[in-house]
Amino acid sequence: MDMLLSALANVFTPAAIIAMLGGSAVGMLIGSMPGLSASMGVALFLPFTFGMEASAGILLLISIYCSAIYSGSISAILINTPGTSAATATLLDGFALTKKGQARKALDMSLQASVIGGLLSGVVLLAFAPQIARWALTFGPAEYFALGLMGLTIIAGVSSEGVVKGLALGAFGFFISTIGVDPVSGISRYTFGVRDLVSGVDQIPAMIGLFALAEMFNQIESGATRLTGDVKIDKDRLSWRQMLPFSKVLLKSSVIGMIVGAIPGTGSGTAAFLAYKTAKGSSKHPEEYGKGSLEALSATESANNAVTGAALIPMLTLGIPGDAVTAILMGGLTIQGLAPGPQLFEKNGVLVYTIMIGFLVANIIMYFEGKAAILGFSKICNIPNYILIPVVVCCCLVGAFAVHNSLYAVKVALVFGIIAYLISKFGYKNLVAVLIAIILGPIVEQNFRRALVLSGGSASIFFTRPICLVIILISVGSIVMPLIKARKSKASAAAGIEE
Amino acid sequence: MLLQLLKKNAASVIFFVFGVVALAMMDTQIVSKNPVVAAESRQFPTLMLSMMVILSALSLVLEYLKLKKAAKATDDAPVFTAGMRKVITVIIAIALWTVLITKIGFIISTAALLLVITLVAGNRKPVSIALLTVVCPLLVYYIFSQLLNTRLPEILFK
Repeated sequence: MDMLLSALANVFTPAAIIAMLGGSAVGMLIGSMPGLSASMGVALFLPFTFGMEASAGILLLISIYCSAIYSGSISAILINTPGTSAATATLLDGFALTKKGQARKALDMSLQASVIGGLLSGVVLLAFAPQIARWALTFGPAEYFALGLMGLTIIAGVSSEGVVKGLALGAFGFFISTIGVDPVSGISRYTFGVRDLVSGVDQIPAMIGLFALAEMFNQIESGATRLTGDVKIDKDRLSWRQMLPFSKVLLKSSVIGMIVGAIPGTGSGTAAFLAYKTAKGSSKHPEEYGKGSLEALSATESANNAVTGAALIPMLTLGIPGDAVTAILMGGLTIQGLAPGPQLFEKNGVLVYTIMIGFLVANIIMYFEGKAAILGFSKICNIPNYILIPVVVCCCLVGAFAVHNSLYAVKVALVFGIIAYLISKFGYKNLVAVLIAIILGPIVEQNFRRALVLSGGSASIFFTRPICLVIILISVGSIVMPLIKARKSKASAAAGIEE
Repeated sequence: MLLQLLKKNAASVIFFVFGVVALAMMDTQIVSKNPVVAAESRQFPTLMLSMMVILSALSLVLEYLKLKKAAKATDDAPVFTAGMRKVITVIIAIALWTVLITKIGFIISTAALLLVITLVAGNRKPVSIALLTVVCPLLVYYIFSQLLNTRLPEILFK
């Protein structure tokens, strides 16, 4: 109880409130611009948190995350282009509503449904995360190795271009994480005599390069003068009372979003499509879906924002990032000297509760900011690329510099930006795999070796401890299942062609 | 077909070569007087590099089989497009910026970098160019050095 009260006091400090207000605004700006993702926004603003108090810094990043996921729907509704991948399902009915002259209603629905989804997932986060963390305190190195391994298998799930390429990228990221002094033996690995490399490849500049710089390179290459076109919005608004008929869909879709969000490697896009399908299946008017249905919009938007709170559960309790944004948020905690996982609840309980309560407050702030400035944010889509790109590149470089007040970090960001740009151009698009492997690599390696030391070199430790064994089996399953699924769908497609 | 395969999957080739070269350098890059300790430190890098080599080779084979199946498909698109040349210009400008920042300081070097990027991105409005190259470096400098306590190189403005 004391912790909760202290956390409440932390959330309502001027620094935290300003951070959340600013974060929500920035998140909406970034999310509403097609091509700029939530992960890019969070990576870009990570260096801003160096000089901030830990709680305010993390709340800034969480506010950006929630708002960017929501505001991806703005451009999806107005110009048929999702601002973020999470809003892809919103396209189906959002733009159709705009064409019917109900853009304002659609924007209101997306905001209100997003807030409901976000708040419900925040309550679930607050209720379940401490219990999971308490349970995870009994884990030893073997279980942590298994958890890290499970996190790495997310790569198979998120690999849109195939498991082989995803795993190759994962292996690359893992190798990068081994550069520097081996923390167990103290031997230098692949440092080439470069002093800066002794402490390893810094995660923060690598993230800035992978997600922000690479995206700017892609924008430069595309040659588009601006990200979007002009939009017109009517004045017919949607009240909370008018949302009552959708309450069942909102609740059901939020639950879907929370379940999907808690499973590492799934993401907001999957949740939104799953909620859309479920809502259509149980709708009284399924024929309206895809033609401008507010009910469909309520399903997709509540589901994709319900993911945000649930995705924080594995990150905060087990130290396993579920997707790119939570991986970057983990970086945010690390730069404040905090290690995500069950120990975080033990050692920094007040901060964890501050994050969880702050998450709820951030969603409320997002609602009021969205209501007040939704029309303004929709106009942000019109910023010309030739202004946007130089400003973002400048922030990337200075942000990377701020990591250690050195140009080494800038060079790391530039190298990773080039690598990400090139590999995505030549056949490998799943950059999340590199990031997840860079973050989880040290967890897997160190705990594997520690577990072997504890067992006197016997690998049986991984198969005789029940929790460890179950996690390893789940990991194997999550690699094998997509392969079987792909083979099955190939076989059924071939059978269809033959028929 | 081979050229088309390499063009579309250049990253697989790079990963393959990177993995082989890094594996070959293992003995010189992870060194210890104690062979047992060295072997332990080499476990994961060896495993990951081997995985990279095998998986990138496998990916090339799979892509080759896919291309063979769709033998009619041809791709005459050039590897280096005008867009890519723009990106290369920006990358060179950023690399130069990392050198110049220590010689002429943050504000001037950043103004020069922004000028290059905005021109490459298609900005032809003198007022907009002038505003961007003057206001942005000053604003970023103020935010980072005054509000976030980052020591950006000043040099000329000391």
